[in-house]
Amino acid sequence: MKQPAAVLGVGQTRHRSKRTDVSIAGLCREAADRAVASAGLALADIDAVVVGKAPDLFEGVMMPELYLADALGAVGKPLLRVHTAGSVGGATGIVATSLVQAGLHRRVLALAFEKQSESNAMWALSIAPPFSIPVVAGAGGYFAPHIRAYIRRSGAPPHIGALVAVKDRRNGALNPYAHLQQGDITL
Amino acid sequence: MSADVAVVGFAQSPVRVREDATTSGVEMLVPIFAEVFRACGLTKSDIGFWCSGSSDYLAGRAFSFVSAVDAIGAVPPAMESHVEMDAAWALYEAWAKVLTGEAEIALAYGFGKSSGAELRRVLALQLDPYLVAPLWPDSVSVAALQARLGLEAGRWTEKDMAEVAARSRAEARSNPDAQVSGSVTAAELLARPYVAEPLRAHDCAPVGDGAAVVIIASAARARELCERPAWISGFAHQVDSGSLGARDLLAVPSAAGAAAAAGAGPVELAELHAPFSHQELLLREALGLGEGVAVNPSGGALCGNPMFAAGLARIGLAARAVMSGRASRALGHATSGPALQQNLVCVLSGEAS
Repeated sequence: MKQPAAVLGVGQTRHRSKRTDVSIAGLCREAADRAVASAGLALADIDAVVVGKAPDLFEGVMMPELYLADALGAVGKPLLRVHTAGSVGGATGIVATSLVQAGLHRRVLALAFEKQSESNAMWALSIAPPFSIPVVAGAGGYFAPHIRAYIRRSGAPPHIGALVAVKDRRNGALNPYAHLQQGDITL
Repeated sequence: MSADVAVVGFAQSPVRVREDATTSGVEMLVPIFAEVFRACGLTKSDIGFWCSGSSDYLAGRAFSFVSAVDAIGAVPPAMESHVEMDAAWALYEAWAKVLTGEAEIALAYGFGKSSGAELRRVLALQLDPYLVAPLWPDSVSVAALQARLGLEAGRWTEKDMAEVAARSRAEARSNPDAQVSGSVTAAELLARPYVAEPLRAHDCAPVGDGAAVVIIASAARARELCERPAWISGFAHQVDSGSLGARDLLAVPSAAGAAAAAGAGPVELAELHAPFSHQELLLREALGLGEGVAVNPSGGALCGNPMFAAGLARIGLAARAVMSGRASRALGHATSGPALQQNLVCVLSGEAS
């Protein structure tokens, strides 16, 4: 029943703190162009587009895929918009894969983005859910207590977090598109 | 399609301005989950895949759909996904999941507290963020431009639009979930003031809060859950340009394209997601619905349009008509974006293919 699915091509923009040279559409098109080129395809060969983005408040655009339809070559095609919070990049791939596995489409473009420099991510993450006390401290305000609890329970020595960061920065330096290029960093 | 999948259950909350419901959707979802589970004889542990549709901008905060998971219960972990779209598209994702064979029974739900802010201004933020949104063209004004174009092109009159509204309100008298209903003539409606010329209040969907849920199942399970499942014979969606000046606002190619891709064919009943009266006229034409088709026997979105749930509710209502035997073939439609930019068609049949 399930059709096999494979990755045909990938495209990534150079990650950096600000891309003031392009619009949101320009940034997304850059990644899409690279992906279809690496697959030996053109955007016209794509049957459906899946856009991943979370949350909308990062750019200050409600359901930005509607405005991006033209830039992504999605006009006249199915366009799905995935939002699963922090897992959205991976979930976008899962949804695109399901569309192929279900036999609905042959070639699906999965694209996820953030252009945090367009808005204020700290504000966007300072949410106030009903019946909860707002932390008003961005993502760090939510994660720091979890990490502190983990350190206390596990007795993890204080350099463990830094070890992970060093490993990631050294690996990241092997990827020319990574934001941080710190191949020489040490503990 | 390689496998048969059917709608086996549907429930929706009454569309109202809900002072008692928060933006998390939980207060609106818990009762309708209970209702649909009871009707299908299911519990939450029977659901293999959950998919929801809602909006952070409607709730006014990031990650708002996460709170709605409280209506499911996060333990044990569930296979779950979310679209920032009307939940009709969540149902589409759930349908694909059942087609892959990864789930036998899937549930799609949508919720929206449209009354949480000034909806027409919130929706202005769906437009091009650099060139259009800074001018704050609100959703009613954008629809009014479309209605004006149709009037000037001789495609419809204000009386035609009022007749859509009058018929919808009359139909909604038998729908207890409708927010607006009643007996009123087109002439009476035309005597009322404009909201955004040429649109009057009756031409615009009311702002209301609500939620909807649809359960689908593979052929292997559908017949045991439902006496007369509503088989999904076609399901497709398309999007048009996001640039209002780049598309013909009097054509809805994405609706026509979705209907063609879904193999819509003749139907007896259609539930159309037309938040403005003239949009029902546009959609009837784009979807090729003749005079004999019963359009919006529920009253349609003009009588209740909970954002991000109303499209899913259209499919649920069309499916209910098939499940109850009132129709052998019905069409559910959903729209998203300004001036009918994005459209989805789901065709439901009493017969498996």
